[in-house]
Amino acid sequence: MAESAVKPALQIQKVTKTFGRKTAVDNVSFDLYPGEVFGFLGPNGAGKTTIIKMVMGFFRPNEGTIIINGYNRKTDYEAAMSSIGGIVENPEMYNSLSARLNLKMYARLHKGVTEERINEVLELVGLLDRADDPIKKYSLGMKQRIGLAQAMLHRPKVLILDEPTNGLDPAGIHLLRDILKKLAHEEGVAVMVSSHLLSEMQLMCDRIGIINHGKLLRICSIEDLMHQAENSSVYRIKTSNPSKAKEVLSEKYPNRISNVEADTLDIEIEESQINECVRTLVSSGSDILGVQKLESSLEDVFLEITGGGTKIE
Amino acid sequence: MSKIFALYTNEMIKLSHRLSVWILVILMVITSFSVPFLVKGALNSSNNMSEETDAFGKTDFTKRRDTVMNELGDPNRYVEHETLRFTIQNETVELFATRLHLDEDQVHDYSNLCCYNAMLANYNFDQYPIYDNWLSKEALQQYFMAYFDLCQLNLVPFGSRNSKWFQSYVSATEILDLSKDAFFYHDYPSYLAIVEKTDNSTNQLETKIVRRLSELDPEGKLNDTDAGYIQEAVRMYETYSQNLAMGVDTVNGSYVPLTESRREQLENSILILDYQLTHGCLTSKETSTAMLGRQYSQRAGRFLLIIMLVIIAGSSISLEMATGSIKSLIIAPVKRWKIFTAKLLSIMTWALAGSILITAVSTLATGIALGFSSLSPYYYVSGGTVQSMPDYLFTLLFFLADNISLFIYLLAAFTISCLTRNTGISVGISTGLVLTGGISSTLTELFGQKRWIDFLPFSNMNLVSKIFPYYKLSGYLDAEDAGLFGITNNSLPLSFSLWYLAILVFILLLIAYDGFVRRDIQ
Repeated sequence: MAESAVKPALQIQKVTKTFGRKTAVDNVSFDLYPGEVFGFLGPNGAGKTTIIKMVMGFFRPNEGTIIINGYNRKTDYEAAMSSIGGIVENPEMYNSLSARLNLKMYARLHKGVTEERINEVLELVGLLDRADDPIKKYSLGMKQRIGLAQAMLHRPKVLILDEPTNGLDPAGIHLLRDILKKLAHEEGVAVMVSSHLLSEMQLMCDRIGIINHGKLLRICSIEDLMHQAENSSVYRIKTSNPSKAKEVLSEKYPNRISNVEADTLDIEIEESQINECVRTLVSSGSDILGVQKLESSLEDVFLEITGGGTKIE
Repeated sequence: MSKIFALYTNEMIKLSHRLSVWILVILMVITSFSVPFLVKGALNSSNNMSEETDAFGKTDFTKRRDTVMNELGDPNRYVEHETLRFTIQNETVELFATRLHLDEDQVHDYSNLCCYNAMLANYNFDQYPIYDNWLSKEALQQYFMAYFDLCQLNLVPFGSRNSKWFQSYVSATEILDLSKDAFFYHDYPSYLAIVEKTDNSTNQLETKIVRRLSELDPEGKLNDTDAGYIQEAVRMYETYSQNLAMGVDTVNGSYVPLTESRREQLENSILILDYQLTHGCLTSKETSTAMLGRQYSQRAGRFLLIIMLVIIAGSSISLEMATGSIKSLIIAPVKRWKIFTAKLLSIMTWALAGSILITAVSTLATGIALGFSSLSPYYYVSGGTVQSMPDYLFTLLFFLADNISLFIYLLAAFTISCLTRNTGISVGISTGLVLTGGISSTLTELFGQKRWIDFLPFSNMNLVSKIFPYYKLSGYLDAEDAGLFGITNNSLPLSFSLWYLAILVFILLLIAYDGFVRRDIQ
């Protein structure tokens, strides 16, 4: 997706935001391309929402430029903002008004949103039969859905959803995933989703940006991340005396050994080194009861990238 | 522009779906509608009460006489008679005089008792009912006073009576004779003669007033209230003429040089007063009751309207921030100042609609309760001649002018709402501002002479009295009594106040801009 020939739908260039002395977002740059689902991943308080709020016009960045659909947000506010839609934190609307009226009011602020379009999005999120109920009668999941309906109402080029799966039931999450993928892959919308749940990202995103402490640490495709996980080469060696084995091996492979248990130890080595490793152990008189390659999970990779200090839920 | 209109439409939808707004509107209509009926009820009950007690009737005076007689007993036992001789300008005058043996407290009761007795014996209560007749009441008072004066002169011992006493005695007798004519025969010229004799006001103002009154009502048929209005009109007419002739203006009881704009105002006021006096269209007892009912009805309704609008303005930004619904406005492709403008416009629309509604409701209710014909028109001067406009039209214009001042209050509430982003605080402060507008008249009393008071907001808030300087002449309440903004301060020209308010609006907008447009929304 991320081909340089395609013009990015959202460009964030060297954006910094400080609150008092605290730097919430530190010199972040990335591009979002049409047709991709971009996952914005980071632990709580990493700066995801701050970046989203800057893009959506809640905050002014202290430095840097935000370009939406080719329009600079600062100099061409209304043109830039008409190409964007989204939900920030929880979707909150006028509670005493019906969902349909809420959508109508929102539609009035955009060009070319027809009555049919309103029905279309209501049907898409499965709320057509409840559209005339006031929002205050909605459950959290229904509010998320109507929020999504509002966000995509005016067919934005960029769709930004902040933690969209909050409060959704599994069926709702599934529906959301399908809608987002369809929007991106069939209609060419650039979708950005923030989450602290990697498993969620894995299922819906094409690319992932990992953020922590206000810094964008890495941008990569979900395949790259999986590949990195698969390529991890930790082997679990089952032996009768792991502590003796550790002594023997640490001479040859310093700082590679971890997780010494009652009858196992883990060692990180290349596939080609396994033979040599086993031979060393055997010659030192240890019994080898088994060698197993360990699958590394995405969580491990994520922890590794974000510095491991912050626990991921 | 289309974005602002779209936002404005949305704001109107939101407001029209707020339950609290409709509750206040209904309350406003009910209050405004019921006040004229309450005024009518209060009026009826006070009329009934005075009829029951037969105030100023024969029974009433008999009761009063009996009370005094119980205390004093037979009046004749205090009286001693003698013939006195005086030499005045070398001529000897003989006088049959009486002397009263009374102390200072008794003399009042004694003179009253004599008057009561005379009245009960000779006064034709059926021909000249005293209750609610101005001339009868005034003449009665003069009669009692003249008798009392004479009694006091009769306290002086015979030996101490000199020529000076004699002159006083003669003049007191003359006044007593005149007052008898005025009272017993309902004779206007006699009453006028007393006023002429006793008038010590500057430029014989009182005499002029009564003379004018006697010309307008030669048979003395007017009731207290109507006569009072004529007196007040003549007093204003005479005072204004005098001020114009002297080139001075009276502000808060002191004299200041007359400004050009005030000169025109005074000249026009004189034209209006003259027109009203000669055409008999001054405020009367009937119209004043209707006008009072009407204006209190407006005032009550308007008070609720202002409270409602202040709540709307004070919560318009902060409530959306609290509920988070502001998000759908921020995300929309509209600049924040447009959101701000649309909100203000929608509030002003409600202010306008509310003003029209209250005018309609109060006109209708006053018409039903107190008669449509009793609503008096507004008189003004255009092209040197006196014109009038129907009262409902004037009331509406009156409110529109006051809505300019209301706008300042709402903008302030709005600004505070933007700054604090807290509905409770902003509504509290703004309501406080509206309510403390009432202390402004106290401030004027304290510092009325100081020039800096002209630069306080409330001195310039009352645009109504500047745009319609003659409204009081048509029976409208004073700004303070009508519950309008600011105080009546005609020493400042309209243009000054408008400039002042424009600057105030600019400052408030700057603050609100900084608070809402520039600051981040959390």
